[in-house]
Amino acid sequence: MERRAFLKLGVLGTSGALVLGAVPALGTDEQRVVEALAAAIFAGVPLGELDVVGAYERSLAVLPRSVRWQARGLMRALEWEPVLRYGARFSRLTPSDRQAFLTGMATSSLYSRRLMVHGAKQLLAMATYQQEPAWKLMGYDGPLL
Amino acid sequence: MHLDCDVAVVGSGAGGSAAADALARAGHDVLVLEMGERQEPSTFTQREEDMLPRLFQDAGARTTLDGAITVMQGKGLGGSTLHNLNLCKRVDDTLLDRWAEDRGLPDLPSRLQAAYAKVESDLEVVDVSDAQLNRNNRLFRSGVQSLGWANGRLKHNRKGCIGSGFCELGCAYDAKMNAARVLLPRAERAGARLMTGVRVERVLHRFGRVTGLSAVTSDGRVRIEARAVVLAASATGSPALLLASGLGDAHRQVGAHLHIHPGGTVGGTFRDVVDGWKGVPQGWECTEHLDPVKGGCWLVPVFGHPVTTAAMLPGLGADHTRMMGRYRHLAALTTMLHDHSSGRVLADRKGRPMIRYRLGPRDRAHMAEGLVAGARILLAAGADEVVLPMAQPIRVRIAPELDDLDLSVRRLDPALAAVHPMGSLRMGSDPRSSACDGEGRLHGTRGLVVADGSLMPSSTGGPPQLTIYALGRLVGESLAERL
Repeated sequence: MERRAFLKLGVLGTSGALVLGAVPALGTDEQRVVEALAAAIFAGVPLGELDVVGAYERSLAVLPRSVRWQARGLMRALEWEPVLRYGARFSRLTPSDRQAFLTGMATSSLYSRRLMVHGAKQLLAMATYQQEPAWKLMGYDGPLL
Repeated sequence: MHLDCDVAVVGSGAGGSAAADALARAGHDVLVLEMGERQEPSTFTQREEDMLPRLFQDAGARTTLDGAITVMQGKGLGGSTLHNLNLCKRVDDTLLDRWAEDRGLPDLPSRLQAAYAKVESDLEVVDVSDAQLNRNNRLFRSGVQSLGWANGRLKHNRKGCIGSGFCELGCAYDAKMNAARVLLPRAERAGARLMTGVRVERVLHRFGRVTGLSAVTSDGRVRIEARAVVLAASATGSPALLLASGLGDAHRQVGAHLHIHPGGTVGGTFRDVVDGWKGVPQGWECTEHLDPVKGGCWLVPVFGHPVTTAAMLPGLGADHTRMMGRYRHLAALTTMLHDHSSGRVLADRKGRPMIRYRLGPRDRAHMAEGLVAGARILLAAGADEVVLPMAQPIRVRIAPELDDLDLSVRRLDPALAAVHPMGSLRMGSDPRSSACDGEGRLHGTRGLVVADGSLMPSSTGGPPQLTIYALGRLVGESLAERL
């Protein structure tokens, strides 16, 4: 049985079908988690020049409501998952512990753990690499229009 | 709102547009219903954050039920032909013969070949020229040919292409000879009506006879009465709509036998600049590891813009960013499974599709072989380093390192994406093993035909677009004669 059936995030999300109400805006704590995950997954990208949280919220806004809820759940789960092993929430870990934690999750024998990291990476790829400062790092010259 | 027509066509992609075109030109009153919007090429921005939500179902977020495989499906007037990469390839003759034999459809190969010829003429299908092969494709060709593997040039339906490379985000230059540019305008000229922003929720039926559709728009509910319904809402949307409508499931064939062509991506970095996002994305293929009947992998160049590339490249942290920093020097290919694994389309309470699909052991082995083959191609082309997209990325610098590699494929290791759902309402003469007959008629139901990739009797092992157009045309012409 999947341990976290709500974490079915593909390129940007999933086809899960939950019956839920309106999705509230991200709180300060959630914004901190998004920033911490982006900093770890895309370490070395000049995130200070990007508005990752704003782009993340805009990206979520166009997703199906069920996916938006799943994304909220995913971020919370990743924030709290390290507590037992590392004694702190993800956003309060050192950069090296964040890397170690995510790598362990991504290569875990448990599918649900791999799925969590995969989902976060897909969501944050959209939030991070739609922005021009990230393109400069890549040498991508942008749209022709 | 209440509407009447001879034929209501649900979906405006390759199959729906071809069927609508055939029916309208035969003089029938055709109403095409598309859930997405009419998309003007001049408004395409070439930016992923804009175009993925505009052109893809669930904003590009659709996955299999377990979240393991991303399933990209289009929306908008023209359906997936708006975003696809315009490859036009007929199904191999051997496989067509197998379809005829296994599914009791002896005349399918000859009818399909005739339909292919008409569609290729309509869409002005031509070879991808040498001048249109970008460096990513030329490296691929060089690698495959130096290995002596079976390979060849692909065909496409583009006219006026400037090689911008933004095909998957919609062509702002309107150079795709697709449903939106060719078939739907022709159907409209013949009298067909096109409605966008219409979500069909139920097929209406009484005593085994389909009478119309129930749909919603932003203005409210719509009831459509029709002498016949053509279902072309994709290989996920069509079976889901039938299931939600309580139609045709006496033998549990509706939604069964789903194939999706899962693909994994192998990347390699080169000393010189590749700029793989520029130019026609796909022009060459490798069929060395593909058996039309038995399965295997189809290998073809692939590339993505920044968001897609970041999502596609394996690994995390500084290693991932380092590869992104080599973006201009990156070449990539996809190893796409001719999958024998099959899944099932289910429907949620609102009739929306849910995709249950898992790779079986044979396909997992084929995927592993395909990934290694992809790495060999890039190394043979001169890559400094190749990365296999496993959860723990495997970096290879010389081909002998691949000899003893024992890849074990499991869910999300590697991450896979699929763009070719098919087979979920497959054709066949026996209702116990197929949902539709050779004319696309849903077994046991009058007044409804299917005209999309759902009809495929198996995985095609190559790009299905041309076959979907051809099946749409076959079904449309056949229905036009019977009405």
